[in-house]
Amino acid sequence: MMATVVPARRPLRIMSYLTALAACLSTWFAPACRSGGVDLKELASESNKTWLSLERSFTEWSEKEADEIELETDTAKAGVRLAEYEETLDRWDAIRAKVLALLGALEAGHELDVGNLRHELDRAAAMIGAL
Amino acid sequence: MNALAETLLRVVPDIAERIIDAVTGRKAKQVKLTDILTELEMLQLRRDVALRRARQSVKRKKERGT
Repeated sequence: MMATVVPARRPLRIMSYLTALAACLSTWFAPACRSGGVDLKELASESNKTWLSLERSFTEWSEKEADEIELETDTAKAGVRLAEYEETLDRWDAIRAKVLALLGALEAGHELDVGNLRHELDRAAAMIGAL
Repeated sequence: MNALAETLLRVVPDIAERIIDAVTGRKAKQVKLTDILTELEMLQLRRDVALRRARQSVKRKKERGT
């Protein structure tokens, strides 16, 4: 009889979503942003922490997804799941490249569109929430 | 301990501290990009290992199936 593996995806999804949401909320409501005047050093620090939290969540997901692909007994399904997995990692890498460039510019004190950085962090959080 | 509990234990204190700092207006320790680069690289390595593992597993399944 073929063993049926029931993936425990829901708890991870909820956890990832909560983590991402909390990380973004704390950046959005950081004192520097709330007061109206933007303290770039503080904004950079909060953004760095947010990005690190998002990377941790995404890495947890990527390892669990690899486990589930290994456990998938149907070769065709495993192949499809691997293709989706690779596509998700590529999308993450694209966001990662943009975020790191923006964080680097912020750290160096360069003028940048803060909304653009927030947009990329939100995209990353939304992506984790949808996993 | 299951994976969810481990994730919760690791993530919740960090997130809770940041939200409390944000709400109370307390100055949190500032974190520079250089402080987190090593961990970011380590996380990227973990993802590379996971991807390689998934690819090899599908390759093995296909070889067994032919």
